[in-house]
Amino acid sequence: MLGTDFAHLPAGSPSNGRRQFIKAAGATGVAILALTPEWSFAAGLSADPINIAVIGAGRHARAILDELSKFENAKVTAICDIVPSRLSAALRRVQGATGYADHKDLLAKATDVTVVFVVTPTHTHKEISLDAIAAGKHVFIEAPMAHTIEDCAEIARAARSSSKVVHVGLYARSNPIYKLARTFFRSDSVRDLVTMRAQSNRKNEWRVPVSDPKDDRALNWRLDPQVSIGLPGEFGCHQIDVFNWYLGKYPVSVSGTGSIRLHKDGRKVPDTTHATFLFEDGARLDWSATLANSYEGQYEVLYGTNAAIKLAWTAAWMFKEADAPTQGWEVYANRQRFHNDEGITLIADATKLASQGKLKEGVGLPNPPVYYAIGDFIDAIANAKPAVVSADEGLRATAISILANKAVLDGSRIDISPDSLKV
Amino acid sequence: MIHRAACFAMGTRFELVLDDNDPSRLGPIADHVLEEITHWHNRLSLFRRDSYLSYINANAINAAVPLEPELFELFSICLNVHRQSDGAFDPAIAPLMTTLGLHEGAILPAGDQSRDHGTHIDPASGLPLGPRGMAAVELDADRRTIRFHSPGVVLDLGAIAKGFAIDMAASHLREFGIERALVHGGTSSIVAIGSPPDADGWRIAMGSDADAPVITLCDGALSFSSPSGRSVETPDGSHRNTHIIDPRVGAPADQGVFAAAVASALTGNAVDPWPAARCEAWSTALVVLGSRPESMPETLTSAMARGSNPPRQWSIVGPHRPYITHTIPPGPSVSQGSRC
Repeated sequence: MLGTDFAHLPAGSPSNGRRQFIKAAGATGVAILALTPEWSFAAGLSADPINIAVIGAGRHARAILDELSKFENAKVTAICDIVPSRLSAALRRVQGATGYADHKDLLAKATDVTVVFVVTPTHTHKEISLDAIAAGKHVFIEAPMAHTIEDCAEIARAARSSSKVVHVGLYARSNPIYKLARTFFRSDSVRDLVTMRAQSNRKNEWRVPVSDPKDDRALNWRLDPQVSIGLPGEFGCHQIDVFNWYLGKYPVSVSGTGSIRLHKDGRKVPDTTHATFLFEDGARLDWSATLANSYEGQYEVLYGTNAAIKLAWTAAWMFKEADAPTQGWEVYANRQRFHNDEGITLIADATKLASQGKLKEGVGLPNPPVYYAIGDFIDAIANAKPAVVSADEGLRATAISILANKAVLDGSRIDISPDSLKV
Repeated sequence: MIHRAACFAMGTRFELVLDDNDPSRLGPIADHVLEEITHWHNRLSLFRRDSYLSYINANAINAAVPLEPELFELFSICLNVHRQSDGAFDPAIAPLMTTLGLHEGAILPAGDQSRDHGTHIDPASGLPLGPRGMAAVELDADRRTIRFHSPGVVLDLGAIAKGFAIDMAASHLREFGIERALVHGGTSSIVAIGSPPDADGWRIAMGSDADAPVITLCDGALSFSSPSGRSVETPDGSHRNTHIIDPRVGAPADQGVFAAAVASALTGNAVDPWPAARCEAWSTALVVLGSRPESMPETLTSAMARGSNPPRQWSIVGPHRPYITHTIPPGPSVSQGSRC
């Protein structure tokens, strides 16, 4: 089981190079993604660049630009941000790109662009995404998808009517380690689900410094109660989707509480939140997030009757019960100590690495999680496949997190109607 | 009002000490700067598979790897100091550091026979065969790329990454108009912006000896290197390897230097945006060289100590010399956060 290969992904290869988009002879304008980890395969082949626009130039856009640089024929030709200092900083990083202050201007003028990444404040996703879809672009929308369920539904409807790929950036579904751990979760290794827990802890103010006071509203939208969906929305969305995906079903209710524990600066958005999600079979997910303590950061745990699985975005472990059946591969498994417990590190290509005596070299994700999401998106475009994370799925994770935020703000319990998760 | 904030990164603790007429803006600014330091930790770590440094190490032997502008500058400093120090500073010898037991947990490219460093090591010297280290690294300024020309090359930025992160932090602080700040990484790599309230500079002791020189730093950078900082016993227990290696011979630096500090001249951001990175590279090189070479830029001040026990003999050369004393000078009181 541990020997599971990541199919087309280069996760197990330490020599993974930049991916190539190769336009095959005879292809009708569709770039075909050569999913090879080897540089040598693509060397010498001609390939047309895929022209990309990145709308939004904040810290997360920077991470996307960093990872796009690993895809040889992905060419960022346009960048947009309404804050001049951010735009100029991004343009310094990308040689030859044109800057725009208005996304509509970009969509009208940057006619060479076929792919658009929407990496702007959550409440601005709808307008930009709808405009990009209407302009006939392939669109990657960062999660959460929007700040209201209605906006999510509108985007999902537009995505359905588009012939292009609309991918929502819920990273777990593209993460090779999460995919591997999911095969364990859905096997006898974990067996029957007992309960679930997740947290997202960090220590900072969640407030962006502004040089010009007039930029405050635009930059500090996370603390604006009119548009913010709080910690459940911004952090919880990605984590809730992990459970949606692993379980193959969605919670039927959420209750929550929130308070301000550290940042007593007049803000209305809680800096510490708890939410409990219930599933129809009685399974329960306890989720919490805080901006007041960073202990253990961000992770998700699924407890089964045979083992627990802990997922931490760039690594994952399985903690076996003493009475769980022993499997052959455990002899050579890499283990890590956590106080009184010992976790088996989940490693891609473990069988191959173990046979080479290099098991430890497989520990951890070879690239940041966003890299794999971008790879899936481009793969879908190049090979005319459906998006790995559709707008419908983005709607569901985002809607649940929006309802969780409402429960946190109201201190209430909210039933999650299946209808609210449909377009 | 002094605002302090800190984070753990690059195997040490980074701290910011900020002062401003409007203290309410310091919290968000500090968060922003600490996120920047964490960003570079994630990007430059030799101990993370998903860092960009690991990506470069895995791929630059096969093809030129693109670099963002800041990283290109960093590697340019590495190459320049490597050449100016005649190879005494070399951040491209990670396999050697691993062989000496100084890099447990480092991510070295492997799993590919062509990158099996064991096949490229001279058994007599323990050094990689053929061109090695930074001598086998090519930077292309037009394309802004890096390429390795020897399979024995693996970058391990070590302390210079700390200096670089502090330079980036200082750059962001200046962008937000901060005029009084001290940023340090593990107290050995420091940038001072302006001076603390009612003082002529940030007073920083060069080591823990009671008679260690104290530098009054204002708009400058300081780096401190000492081979006594960390060491690892050899497998046979016969001797200890210190963490500063002479890359020219592949063995721990052995020039009798207890510590070397390098301070940048009182330059503004426009003159040298990377003073801490440069100081880090040179302080390491000085421990290896044992004395200040003529090729060292005149804008840098060096302070070197010899002797295994205090009182040690300090040799101080350079434009910062007037700001260095052997006792804390009398004068305005300095807040607790201003002395490292």
